[in-house]
Amino acid sequence: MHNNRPVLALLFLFTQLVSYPVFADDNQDISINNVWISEAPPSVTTLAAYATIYNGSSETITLASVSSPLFSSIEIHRSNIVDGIARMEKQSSLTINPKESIELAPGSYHLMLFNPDKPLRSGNSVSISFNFSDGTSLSVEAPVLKRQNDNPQHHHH
Amino acid sequence: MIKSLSSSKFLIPAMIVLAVLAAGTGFYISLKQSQQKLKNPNIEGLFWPSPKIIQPFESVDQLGQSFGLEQINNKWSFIFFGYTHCPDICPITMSVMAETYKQLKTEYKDLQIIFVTVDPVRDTTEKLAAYVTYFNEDFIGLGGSTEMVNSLTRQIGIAYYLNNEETSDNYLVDHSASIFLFDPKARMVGKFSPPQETEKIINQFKNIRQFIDAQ
Ligand SMILES: [Cu+2]
Repeated sequence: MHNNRPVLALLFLFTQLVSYPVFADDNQDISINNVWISEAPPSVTTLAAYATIYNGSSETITLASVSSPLFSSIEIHRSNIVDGIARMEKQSSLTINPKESIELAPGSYHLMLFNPDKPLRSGNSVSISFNFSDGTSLSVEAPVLKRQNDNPQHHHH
Repeated sequence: MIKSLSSSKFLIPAMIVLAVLAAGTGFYISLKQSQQKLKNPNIEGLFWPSPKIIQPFESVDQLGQSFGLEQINNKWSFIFFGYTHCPDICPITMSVMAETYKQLKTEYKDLQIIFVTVDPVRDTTEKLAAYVTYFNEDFIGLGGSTEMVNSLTRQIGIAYYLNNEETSDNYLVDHSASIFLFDPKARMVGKFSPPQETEKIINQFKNIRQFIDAQ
């Protein structure tokens, strides 16, 4: 990346708003919104992050990987309950059709964040990079938020 | 005089009619009650008749103390399974149970919420303590040896298995997403199936409890 300090500063300001619209400097077509990391109990070393990824372009895009310097690794997962058994399925990538969005939300698709360098509390935020197969990479500042008590699973079926 | 005579003439048949009616109603009510006692009244999630009775078991709670059948007796227990490396479904269930417990505990003083780890190797006593108390300080977290956990999952009849291909430390565990309800006689009287929602659990719990208390 080139000299994008002002852009980063702007990004930071954006993340302080209620929703988190982020547009890449070199790609106006993909937007990543509502990014957040769920606060977890202090002993937990595996966290979940959520986001909405919109593909505004006319091409299919593929989210190939997600990275952050704060975590040892990040995987794309999908929670699924089949015959009463809850399981997480690792996804090698996520494909998003033109003009469509994919929602990473509790009880469904999520980012699995392994082994944070330091404990994260609500109020912290972490930079996460979404890397697409065409070489585009979008960095987003993800705030750590407390999970709501009602079950969001219900709203996503 | 005449008046009182004529009124008593009507009074006696009226009393007889009333007595017959009362007896009939009483008989009808007791018939209904005995029917309710015998039959499954079609309450969602109710295991009746012949609920499973939990046999003696051993486990270790989040304070490092042994936890067994005696701790299940004389309380209404919500028991469910998960592991602390599960960052999505498990905390959803925990949050829903935290809210459910908060709403129920003002009315019911004999409840306990029990999280059983299906990953006792990684979920040590200390980790379990930090985990369950984050959601509510009254919550109980059970672990111990793999054999201990197995004795409980086998009795309840739930499955769990390691799902990862990789032999990494980041393995995943598939497990039952249901919450099981035990009455004060350690009988498994109900089950709450996913998706878990506070309002649904509270209604179901009240229906099951009312039914069991009437037996
Ligand atoms: Cu996951």
